[in-house]
Amino acid sequence: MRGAGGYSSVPRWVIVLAAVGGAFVLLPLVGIITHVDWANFIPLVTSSSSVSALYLSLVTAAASTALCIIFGVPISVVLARTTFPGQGVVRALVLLPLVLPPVVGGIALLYTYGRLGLLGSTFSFLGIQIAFSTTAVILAQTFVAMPFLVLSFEGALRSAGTRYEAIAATLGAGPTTVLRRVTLPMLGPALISGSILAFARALGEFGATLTFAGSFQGTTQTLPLDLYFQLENDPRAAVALSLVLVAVAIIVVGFAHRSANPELFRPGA
Amino acid sequence: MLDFRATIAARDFDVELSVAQGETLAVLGPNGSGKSTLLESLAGLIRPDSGTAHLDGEALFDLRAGASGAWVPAHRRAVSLLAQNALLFPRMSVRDNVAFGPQSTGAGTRAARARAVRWLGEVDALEFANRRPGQLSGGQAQRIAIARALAAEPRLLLLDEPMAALDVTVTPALRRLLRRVLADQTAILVTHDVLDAYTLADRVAVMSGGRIVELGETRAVFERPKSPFTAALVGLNLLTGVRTAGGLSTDVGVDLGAIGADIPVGHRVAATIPPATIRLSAQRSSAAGLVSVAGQVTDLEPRGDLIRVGTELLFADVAPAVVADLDLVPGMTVWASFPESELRLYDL
Repeated sequence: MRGAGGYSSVPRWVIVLAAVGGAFVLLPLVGIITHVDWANFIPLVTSSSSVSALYLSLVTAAASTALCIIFGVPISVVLARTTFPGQGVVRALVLLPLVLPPVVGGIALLYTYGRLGLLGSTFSFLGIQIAFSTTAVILAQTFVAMPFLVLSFEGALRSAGTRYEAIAATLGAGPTTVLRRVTLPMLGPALISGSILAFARALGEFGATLTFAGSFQGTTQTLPLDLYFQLENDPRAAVALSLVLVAVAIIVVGFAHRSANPELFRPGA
Repeated sequence: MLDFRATIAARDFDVELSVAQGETLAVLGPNGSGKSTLLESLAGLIRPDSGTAHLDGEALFDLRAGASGAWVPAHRRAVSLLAQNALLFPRMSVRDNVAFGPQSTGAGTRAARARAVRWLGEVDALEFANRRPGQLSGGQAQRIAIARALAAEPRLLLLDEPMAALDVTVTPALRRLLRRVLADQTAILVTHDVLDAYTLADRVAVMSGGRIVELGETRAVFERPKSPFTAALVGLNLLTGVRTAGGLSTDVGVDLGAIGADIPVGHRVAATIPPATIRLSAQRSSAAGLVSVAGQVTDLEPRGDLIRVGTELLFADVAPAVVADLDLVPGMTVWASFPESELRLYDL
């Protein structure tokens, strides 16, 4: 392959491996599309259980993305801008859900916030029952999605450096003003792309949700859970719903890519 | 009025200095001599191990052993920093950049904007008010950065090589602008440029190895350099040694004779010789009134239309024809001669 001018030295065998890898990722999409029952597509994806699952998915993913921003941004700032003993360990633990099997995450949540869990008696005393509720769905999604935001935003903070922040401080701006008017605006694109990644991860959440929240239509049955159970009853519906999730994912990835490279899209650049 | 004294063991930094109200102090020194550390500890970006600093009678820090340990954070010091790069906040308009200081210190939006407009006028940059920093040239951006630093109304302005990153074609105008705005501003200017120090500073401090090694009126320091760094900066040969009867015994073991000066024998002295007044010859010159020293050529370096010839003791600026006629190469022994009247001898 030749780039747009300039020397390129990609060996042929690398291109062959890249093509095989690309096909491996793309072929399953073709597999879905060829099995969609197009004649009944609209009724299949608009059945009452699918619509309520899609709605629940979007609402819970939005809520957990908001939680990821509210707590993930401070975590990123503390990790990137301060030093304290044991920081490396804390960073590793915060990023743990990234490598943990989601089912394990669900079990951990169950034994923390569940009725018999660590904080369960506190919550039952207050009359709050978290496990197997919509709240549990949001918590499970936040648990698995937060590391995506922290990972990308902390990296952006580090590479941006502290020079602008130091100048702002010498102009009389206190730490909150510096964060609000200098740091966050400069890293807006990184925050948006991190949030979109977190949203996408929350939208696809399955294992932790099923373990911690169960699968009750209308309250905890999100789209991935719905389509998994549809696979047994009505495979045609499952395939159609999969295509809907693929479409949502493509839109999300498109936005993330776009906001990560804003200069490419600025008019006149 | 600034009084400052601080030590930082990890950076081998130990500096004491004061700057009078409205005065500009230039700080010169080789890389790593502690100039940036000085600015950073004044701005509140790093914390010295010990020391005190007072600005207009108020403490910036008081870290003496047993003291209250007062430490004023950077944003409450009224000490602004102008860096080598303008570092304008990229997501704000030029006007909002300049209004940032006033707004952060409690002025209302309207008042802050008015102040921004006034300072943009002061630096001749009103036309850029609505632009984004990305649409400015380096010189324009630095102009705005000056306005932004001054709009914060600092009691002390720190300038860290403000013209080092700029094209030489824009520095004269910027230097003139700085001379105007620094007239009544208490300021510390870190620079590598002798011209900056001459035009902008009342006094000069030369730093080396985390210490101030020379301090005084700009002209006095530059005309009577005491360290090799300062001498090289102003382009003078510097010899140090002991006054002998009618001459000078240098520290490198070469004796110069026939030098008249009103300095008693035995005093530590320094002597400067302008490199352009030195003649090179293959044989010792016997003319009266000339001081001659032999030495090996160490290097040859073009400087403008002359060639700077380094020898063991002195360097000379000579015409290329001289280099060709003498067929100078490093390692060759050559005689350097200069009129006695060009040597300036003073107490160290």
